[in-house]
Amino acid sequence: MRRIDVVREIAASYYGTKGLVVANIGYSSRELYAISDRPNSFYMLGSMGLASSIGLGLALVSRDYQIVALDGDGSVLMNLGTLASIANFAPDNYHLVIIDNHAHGSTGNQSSLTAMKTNLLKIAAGAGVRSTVRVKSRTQLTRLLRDQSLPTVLIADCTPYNADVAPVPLSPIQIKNRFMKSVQRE
Amino acid sequence: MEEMKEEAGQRHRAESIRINRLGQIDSAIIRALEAAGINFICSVTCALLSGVIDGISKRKSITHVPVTREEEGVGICAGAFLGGAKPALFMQNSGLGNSINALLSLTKLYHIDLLLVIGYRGRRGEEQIHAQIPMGTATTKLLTIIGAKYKIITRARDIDSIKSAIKPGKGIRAVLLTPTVWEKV
Repeated sequence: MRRIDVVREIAASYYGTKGLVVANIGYSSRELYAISDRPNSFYMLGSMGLASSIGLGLALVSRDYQIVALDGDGSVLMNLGTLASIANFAPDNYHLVIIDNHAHGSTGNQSSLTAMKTNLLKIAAGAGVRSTVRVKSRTQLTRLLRDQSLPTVLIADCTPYNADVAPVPLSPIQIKNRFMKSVQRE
Repeated sequence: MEEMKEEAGQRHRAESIRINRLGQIDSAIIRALEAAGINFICSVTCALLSGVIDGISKRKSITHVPVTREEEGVGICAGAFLGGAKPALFMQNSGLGNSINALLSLTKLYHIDLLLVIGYRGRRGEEQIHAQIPMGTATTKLLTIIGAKYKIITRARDIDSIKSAIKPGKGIRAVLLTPTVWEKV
């Protein structure tokens, strides 16, 4: 399974009128934009490590929406405190999807610490997150998305791979304005 | 014996009055924030702000998330803003150093509004703890560099001016509260 497979599955399941997606800086945003650009995607252009946090703030004030934060193992490792905050404060509409390719994909696929001894699922559980699932194949992910809603933390084991897609061409203000409009429209 | 009792009673009364007045200052800060429309607060613990943070966690009109680190709070506040809330982030000024990149490459980049409520330690000539001074000396310069307008509040009677520090569409704003806000009661 590659990052773009996860992005495609999430886009297909969580892009309804009641879904909002926060996509991590780099290829998570680029691949999501290339597959299906929607106003209800918030593409991060900076602040590596904060996709899970932006999603959490959004979920706390937008309870009518399902919030998916598309994050990576390297980014979550930069902001491990987020897992403790999620465990204690995330509402039911919050879902963190960690694309765990054991690498810093957007900077050239250098190995991350999850390629060594570190297990983010155990860290999430240790932080107190009750609802955690790891999927190891696209079939498992498709089945999970068909049969149930996303857990609080989903870890999708992937191989390092960056699709040949361009950077998101939108300006930060465009991204913000159309995103906020799509939240208010409901 | 009676004298000792009387003395203890007086001490107790003096302490009660002091605590009550401190509570009034904390309440005044919370009222000013509410009057300004703040309805979402992330906080990192700070000895100066502890009473305010305690008070906020009991307010139903405000969603309060105590976070692990200031940078994380910048992210959560940005998400809350995108969802339509008016956020504030509480921190000690040391935490400003922990949040600069996020304030610039998230809050400022996307023109997000955020009020920073900062316990301001380490001003030269006032601070007893040496470790506070390097960051204390840099604090207002850092705010200037990132383009955040700020207001320094040193007296309890100026607490109401917090209201005017918040202006929608004006990006990052900061209110710096010095220890003397709570001392001079």
